[in-house]
Amino acid sequence: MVGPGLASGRARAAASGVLLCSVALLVLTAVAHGTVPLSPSEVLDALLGKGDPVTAAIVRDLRLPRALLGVLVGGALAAAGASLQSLLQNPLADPFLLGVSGGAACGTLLASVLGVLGTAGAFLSPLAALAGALLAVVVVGLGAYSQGTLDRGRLLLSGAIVNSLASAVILLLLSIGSPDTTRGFVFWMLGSLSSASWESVSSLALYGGAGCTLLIFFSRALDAFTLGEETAHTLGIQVEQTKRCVYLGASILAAAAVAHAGIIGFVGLLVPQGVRLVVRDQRSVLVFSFLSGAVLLLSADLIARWLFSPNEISIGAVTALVGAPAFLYLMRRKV
Amino acid sequence: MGAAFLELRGVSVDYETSRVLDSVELGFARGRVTVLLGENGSGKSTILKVLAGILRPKKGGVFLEGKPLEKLPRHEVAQRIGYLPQAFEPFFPARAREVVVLGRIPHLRGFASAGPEDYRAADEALEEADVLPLSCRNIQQLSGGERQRVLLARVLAGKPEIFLLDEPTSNLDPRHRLKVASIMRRRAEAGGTVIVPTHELDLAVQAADDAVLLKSGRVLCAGPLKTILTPANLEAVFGVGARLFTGPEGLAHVSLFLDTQKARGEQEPGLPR
Repeated sequence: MVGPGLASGRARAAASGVLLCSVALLVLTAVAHGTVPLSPSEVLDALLGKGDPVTAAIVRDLRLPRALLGVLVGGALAAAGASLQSLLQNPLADPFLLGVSGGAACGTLLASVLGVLGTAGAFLSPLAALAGALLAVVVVGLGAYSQGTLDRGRLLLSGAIVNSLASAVILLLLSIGSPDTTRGFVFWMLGSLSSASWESVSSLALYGGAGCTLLIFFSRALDAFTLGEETAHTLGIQVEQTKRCVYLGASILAAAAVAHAGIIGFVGLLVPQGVRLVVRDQRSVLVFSFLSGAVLLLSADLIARWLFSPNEISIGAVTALVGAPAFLYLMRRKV
Repeated sequence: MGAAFLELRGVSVDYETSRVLDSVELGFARGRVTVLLGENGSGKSTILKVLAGILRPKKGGVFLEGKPLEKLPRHEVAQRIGYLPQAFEPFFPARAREVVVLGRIPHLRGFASAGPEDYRAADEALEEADVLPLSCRNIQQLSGGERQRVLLARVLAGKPEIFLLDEPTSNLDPRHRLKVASIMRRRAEAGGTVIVPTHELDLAVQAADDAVLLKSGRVLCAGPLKTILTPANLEAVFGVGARLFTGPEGLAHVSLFLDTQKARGEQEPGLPR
């Protein structure tokens, strides 16, 4: 069934407001929750620079950057997934399943092992990740290209192959690193916000902003893609330019998210699916996906921190536990 | 076929190693419905894709009012030419009205979203294509014929001058075939240029002014329907016998026979002129 949709601007504004409040509430919950539990008033005092200096440091230097990184990572992954699904007209397209995240992880790890990131790692690692992500996009595209078009079935298969290749390269790189470095990388790779800092938040805001701007710019073109590429062309859309720019925008978002939080699957797959039940035009799909992705990732992070507290499990494990069965369901329904 | 408004000049198209259109010269006038007739694979849809600018010919080009199509601004071409593909499979849920309003994309400027005027045009088109009651239905759940009419409404909503409709009645019931034929006639009478590849010869004789007969990517003959749609030409194109007659209700009809001799035996010379 097609959902009732949010036809009026007022309904959309109300829905955006609800999502924004949910994000704010989850950020506050994430900041309050931890090995040192904090009350809402303590959190508020710390945010305003008042109260106990230790509490202020915990909130402002550790937990707030982590929560904000969660917002940006979830938003970036969901927006990337929403754009790839529209571009490829494939409800199962997702940066993780298409090998983009795997390529980005390879790029980050390779740059790190080669020691080319230096002191500006937070800002340079997304670039290394982007190089890996774009390489993955090209390889997946070549694998799926058949008879002048991208074959939908082959695309996922090609993504799986690139993911396997990326895993092999990552294992190779990890095996030549020191045990300490390897442990850190493994935890990062499985998806974690534990390395959050204000630098990583600023970096992701910068790259995420660039990626989202590009995708918003091409949102009308992606609306036309719902009628097929040929019809989109007759509606005045520059089809090839749209494809290149949307791949680039989605890769920037996915790469920046992977560089700072590792591989977190299924956010980009599931969130846009739900969002499309209430909004259909691509601009709204992007905005709603970003906010809903933030909600999903913050929730997954809270679960990852709470489930075996004080130990923390990877967010990738939480999203996969929910995402894999949902993916199976969607695949049976749509392919 | 009248003063050419839209022209194909020396157009040849290759798909991989095979030539699917060979030196096609055609002109389409304003205010006329032209049917493209020919066997499967004769190049009908390819001609439509070349006219829509989807396919770039290997040789020759498309000219709109004497100007090469690729030299005209993209949004102008998109506003003036409406294209309905033969098949379309939607991958995401969307209401019929949401699909139809996408036909207004060429008229939207900058980052503007579709406004009241666009939704009004969409609703008028939905009504004309007789799908207004389906406007809130998910296009994925519509029947083939219903979906075809929704997509026709999408073209009508764009208010183009040139209508390139690829077999627009192939999935339709008799009543809606006639409705679509009357939409085509109305658009032509309002000065539009309507070009329709079809296999439905009755639709052709009842709705078209001109016909183009295609055989293996070449134009066999083109001109006013009554001079082109003759039993001899139909036999040359389709390899079937044909009998053309006017029914008691005053409408022209075509009967086809696999046995060409049988058709010749009771042949009228062609359509009444």
